[in-house]
Amino acid sequence: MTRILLYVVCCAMVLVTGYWAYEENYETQDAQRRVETLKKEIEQQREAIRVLQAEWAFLNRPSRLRALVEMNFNDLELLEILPQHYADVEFVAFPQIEVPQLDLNNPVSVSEQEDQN
Amino acid sequence: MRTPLRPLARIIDAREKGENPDHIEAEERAKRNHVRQVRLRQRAESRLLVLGLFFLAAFGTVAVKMGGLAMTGPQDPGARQTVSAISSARAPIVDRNGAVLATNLLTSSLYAHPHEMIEPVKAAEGLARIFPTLDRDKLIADFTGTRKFIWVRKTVSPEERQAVHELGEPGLLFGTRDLRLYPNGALAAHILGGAKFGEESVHAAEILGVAGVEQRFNARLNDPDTLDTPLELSIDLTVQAAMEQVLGTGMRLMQARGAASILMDAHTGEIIAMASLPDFDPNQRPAAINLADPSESPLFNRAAQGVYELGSTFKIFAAANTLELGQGTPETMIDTRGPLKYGQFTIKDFKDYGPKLSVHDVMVHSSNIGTARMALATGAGAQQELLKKLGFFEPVPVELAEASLTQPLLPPRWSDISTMTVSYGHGIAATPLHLATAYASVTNGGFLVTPTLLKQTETTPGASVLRPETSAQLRAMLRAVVTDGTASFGEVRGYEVGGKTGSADKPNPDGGYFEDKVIATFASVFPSSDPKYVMVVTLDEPSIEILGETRRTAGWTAVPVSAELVARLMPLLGERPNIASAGNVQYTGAKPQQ
Repeated sequence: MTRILLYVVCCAMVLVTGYWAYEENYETQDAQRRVETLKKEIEQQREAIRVLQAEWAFLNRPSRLRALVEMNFNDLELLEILPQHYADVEFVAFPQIEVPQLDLNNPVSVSEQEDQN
Repeated sequence: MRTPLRPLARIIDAREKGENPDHIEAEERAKRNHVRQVRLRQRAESRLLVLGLFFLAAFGTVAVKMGGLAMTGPQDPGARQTVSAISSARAPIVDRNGAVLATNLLTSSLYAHPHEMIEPVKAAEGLARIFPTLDRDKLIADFTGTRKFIWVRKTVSPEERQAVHELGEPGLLFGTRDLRLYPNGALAAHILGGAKFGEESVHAAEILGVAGVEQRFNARLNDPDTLDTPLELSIDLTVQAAMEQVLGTGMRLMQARGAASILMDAHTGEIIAMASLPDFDPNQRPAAINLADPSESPLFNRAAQGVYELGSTFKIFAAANTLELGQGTPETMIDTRGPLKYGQFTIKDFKDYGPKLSVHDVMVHSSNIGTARMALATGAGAQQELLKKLGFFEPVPVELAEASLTQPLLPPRWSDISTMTVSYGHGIAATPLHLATAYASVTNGGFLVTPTLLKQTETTPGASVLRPETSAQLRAMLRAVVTDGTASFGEVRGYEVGGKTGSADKPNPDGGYFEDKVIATFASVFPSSDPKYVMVVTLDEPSIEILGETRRTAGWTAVPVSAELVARLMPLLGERPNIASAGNVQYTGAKPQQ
C-alpha cells in the first residue's frame, strides 16, 4: 500500500517538475525574443539619435548661422562680440520688447521611428 | 575436453556395485549446469558493468554541464552571434564643448544584379537621369553583359533612393553604408583630414581616415570598445569658425597666397583653433595631386606642414639665451654698429639704430646686428641646446598624421655664420606650429609645452626650459614690441598683446632669395602680464598698398590681421578685456533707459 502511494507521489512529482521545466524553457525563449526586439529597437533609436545629432550639427554649422544672422539683421541686430562690448552691468540697456509667443501647435515628428507598443 | 554424460567406466563400475547409473548422469548434468551458470553470471556482470559505466558517463556529462552552468555567470545566448568581419562603425569627433565635428550617417549604397533585371536598358536610362554623373551607355553595356554584380553608387541620399525605388526595377538593390559626415563643411578641414571607404561588402564598408586626426586616430576611432565615446579635440568650433573667417578676410586684403594661424593655450599646449588657407571640404576631399610645390594644393596644411624661415620671431630665443646664461639684463647695452661683416658675410639692419642698443631695444627695434652679436656671445652650443629643447630639431609632436612627417630644416653645418643667421630666423625653417609651441614654452614661465589637439583634463607642467624671471623679462620685451616697436598695429585694448614680428624673404628654388616675396609672421602672447594664449599668424607673400608704398613686412600685414583675430576670438573664449590696463574704454552705443 505504502509502495503504491510512493509510486503515485513520485510520478506526480515527475509530472510537476517536467511541467515546470518546460514552462521555464518557454519563458526563457520568450524573454530572449523580447531582448532581441529591444536590442533592435535600441539600435534603431541610437541610429535615429545619431542622425538627429548630425542634422542638428549641420543646422548649427557656423556658416549657416552667420548667414541667418545676416538675413535677420533687421529684426535681431546681432553683431559679433568685440572687446568694446564688455561693460559693467549698470551700463547695459536691457531691451523692452515683448517677445511674441511662438506657435508650437501641430509639432511634426522628424524621426521616422514608429511606436512599437 | 568434453566429458560425456554417462562415462562408460563409471557406469560399468556402478552397475557392478548395483547402483543406479542415472545418478551418475544427474551428477554430470549438475556439474555442467554449474559451469554454465558461472559463465552466464560472469557475462551478466560484465554487461552490468558496461551499462553502469555508460550511465556514469551520461550522468557525469550532465553533472559537469550543470556544474559549469552553476559556476559561470549568466550569459545572453543571443550575444554570441557572429560579428560581421567588416564594421562600418566609427566613433564621432567632437570639439572641446561637445559640438560634432565628424560623425557617421547611415546612407545606402546602390548595386545591381543584372540577371534579376526585367528591363535593363530602361533601368540604365533611369539611373543616368537620376545620377547625371553616370554614363548611360556604359550602364547599358554593364546591365546587358554577363556580370552578375555591379556597384552603381557608393552612397545614395534618401531622395535619390526614393527616385531609384520609383524606377521599379527588381535588379537594383540597396546596401547599407555609413557615410563619414563633416557637418561644418570646410571648417577645421586640415585638422580633421578626411576619410575614405576601406574594405567593402554589400552590407557595410569600413571607413578609414586618410589625413589629419582621422588618420592619426584610425585605430581608436574604429575600436569597437570605444565606439560610443567621441574623440574630444581641443578645438573650439566657434573660435575656429571666427578664426577662419577673419584670416580669410585678412588674406584677401593682404593679397596673400596663403595664410595660417594657430591659437594655443600657453600652459597646456591645447590648440584652440588652427587654420590654414586655402582649405577644402573634407566631405568631398579633393584627390591629392603631385605638384612641384605641394603648398599649392588646398590639402596642404600650412600651419603644421609648411616649413618656413620664420625670420625675426626667432630673435626672442637669442635674447632668452643671453638672459638665461647671465650674460646680460634687459638693460645691458649691445653693440649695433653695422654693417656686421663676418668673413664674406654681411649682416645689415633695416635702418641704422645707432652705435648701441639695450637688449630690450634690440628686440623692440628688431636689430639683426644686435641679435647676431648676442648669439655669437652665447655661442652655437647654447643656441642649439635651447632650440633643441624647444622642439625645433624634431617634427612637431602634434596628433596630425602629416605633421609627424614634416622635418624642420636646419643648417647642415652649424658654423658661426649659421649661429648668427639662425638668431634672426634665417637658415632655419620650421612650421608655424613649432613657433607657437616654442613661444608658449618661453613665455608661460619657462615650462616646456607639448602641442596637442586633444582636450586635456589635467596637465602636468613640462620640464623647465627658462627661469620664470627670464620668461617675465622676455614678456616685457614682447609687450614693448607692440607698444613701441615694429608691431604697433597689434595692440588690442585690454588684452595686453605682446609679440614679435618676422618677415623672411622666400627662398627661390633656383637659389638665393626672392626680393619681393616674403613670409610675414607675427607670434604673439596675451595677456603679456599673465599669458593665457599664444597666437601665430603667418601670411604667404602678402603685399598691400598703404600710404603710397607697397608694404610686405609683417608689421603692416600679419600684425593687423593678428590684432583683428585677438579682438574677435578673445570675447568668444569669454576673456573680458582688462579695463584697467585699457584706460579709456568705449562702451556700447546703447543708452540706459530712464
